[in-house]
Amino acid sequence: MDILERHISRWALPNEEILSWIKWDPSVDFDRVVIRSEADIEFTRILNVDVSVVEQERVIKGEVVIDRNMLQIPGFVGFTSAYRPVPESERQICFEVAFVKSEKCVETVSLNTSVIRPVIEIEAEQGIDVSSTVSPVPPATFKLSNKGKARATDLAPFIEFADTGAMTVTIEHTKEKISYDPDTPFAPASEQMVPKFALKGSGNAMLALGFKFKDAIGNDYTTKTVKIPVTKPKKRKAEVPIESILSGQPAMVLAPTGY
Amino acid sequence: MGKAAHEWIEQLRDAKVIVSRGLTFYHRDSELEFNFLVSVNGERTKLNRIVQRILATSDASITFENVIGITGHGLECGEDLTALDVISFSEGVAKIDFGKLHDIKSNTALIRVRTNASDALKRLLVFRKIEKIPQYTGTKTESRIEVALDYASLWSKTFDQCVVRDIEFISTLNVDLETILDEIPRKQARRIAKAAEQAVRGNADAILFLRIMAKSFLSFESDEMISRLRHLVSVEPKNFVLKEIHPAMQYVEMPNTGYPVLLPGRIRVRVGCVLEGNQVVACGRLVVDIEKFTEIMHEIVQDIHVKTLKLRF
Repeated sequence: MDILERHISRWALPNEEILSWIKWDPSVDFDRVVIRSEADIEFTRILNVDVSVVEQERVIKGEVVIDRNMLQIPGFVGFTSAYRPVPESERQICFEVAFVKSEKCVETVSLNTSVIRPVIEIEAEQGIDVSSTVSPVPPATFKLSNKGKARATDLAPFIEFADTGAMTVTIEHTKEKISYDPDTPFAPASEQMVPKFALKGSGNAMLALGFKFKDAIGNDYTTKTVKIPVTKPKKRKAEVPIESILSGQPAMVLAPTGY
Repeated sequence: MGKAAHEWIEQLRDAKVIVSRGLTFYHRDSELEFNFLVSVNGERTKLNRIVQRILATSDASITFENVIGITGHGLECGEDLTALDVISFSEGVAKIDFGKLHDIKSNTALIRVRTNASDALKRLLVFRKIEKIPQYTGTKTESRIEVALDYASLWSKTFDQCVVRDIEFISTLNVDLETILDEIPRKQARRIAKAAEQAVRGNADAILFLRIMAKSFLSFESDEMISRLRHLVSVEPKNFVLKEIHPAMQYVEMPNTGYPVLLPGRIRVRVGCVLEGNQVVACGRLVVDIEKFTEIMHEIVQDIHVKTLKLRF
């Protein structure tokens, strides 16, 4: 069978639509085209077909059956689909497009793509010790490393578990002014949010801290948590800035964010 | 176009009064343009003669609603069909009076009717996608652009010609400025930090240094620089075209100094695409040359260095 063109999106984020199409010699004789994928793939649109195709019950189970007479123009069919769950890591997705004639498969075309995501590993540099007299308190630094293909954005720390005893530990976001203007140096220009640990009371504590982050289309992710010991001998309130150094971003400097 | 108008057009087509029908869908503005090539003194088929008789004796007009405009002219003699009252337009309603066609000397006339289309139609007819995560290939990034048309029967069976124009992709390229700032020589970075420190203390040379630096980085917004930026972004193949590129400035902290500088943190890119004839799909590439971008950055940094050489702080 003469397949003239086959196409599938190279990769997609979870919930991002995957576009695929096949073109073949319109004179080829067949009864129907069957598109199959796994059950957790959602077909969102079938191109160039009668609307009844999309209403088929089996579509939700990852199978689309298109009788030849349902094609609006001959020699072309396309579809869009999406993978909704957030995978633990990259996931390969395979679509099979089978051409059936007299109940026999005369041609099968495989289309492969992958669902990608940012995968961030976290490492705590050291514990928080507020016993020293250094002022301001040095930041608590976390090394984050992206092992995935997709870029991570909007990193924000969270505490999942805190064994704090007599101490109260919370995360606060403080507004800090970036004071610079091209014509008037150091005039207030804009603000940025800086996350900080707010520590009240004294004693020793153990925190489990992780980071929330997003991908280019706003899917939410979290890292695993790391345990951090906190030492604070004095009762006076202390604020410890949280600094995260993200490395291992995909080696891409420019990333489209949509249209 | 209503059902009655559609049926009329079908009859006129069968009678070869309308010899060709074309449709142009302007995707960006969601507008449809119907093109009718009308034979005024064409082939005299039996059906044609019947239709011509009907046209001559009855109100043989077709009206279109929700119209933006209608134009028409004779192909051979260039007659203005509005002046001849063959076509008219009032308050969003356009009319073609086929009964007045005999006033035209030309054998053929072209009539164009432009109407508003719904946004739903826009979404239904065209599926478009630009890759969110580009691929890094050496010194360039490459993002795929994909377009597919749906409801082929609508445009393929009803019209002799169909073109979808102005399919637009607006993409914001997020520039990873920290990576680019790493390219600034350490000596220069230290000088920026020192200038920031001294400017607070009122050192005039340090303040001047920061102003020169800010102006130099702001040159990214100049026409000359935008013209250069156009050369670092390319699209292919030919049915894709780069329509606009514009940097949006944002603050970023200089590494190891904490000093914020104004840089083109985002670059807005507008790409257009045209699908003609039997094309139902198209796949293109948006390529960004990072090396060229870094070169521009280096030039600016060098320019700052030269302009501020004599400043002491």
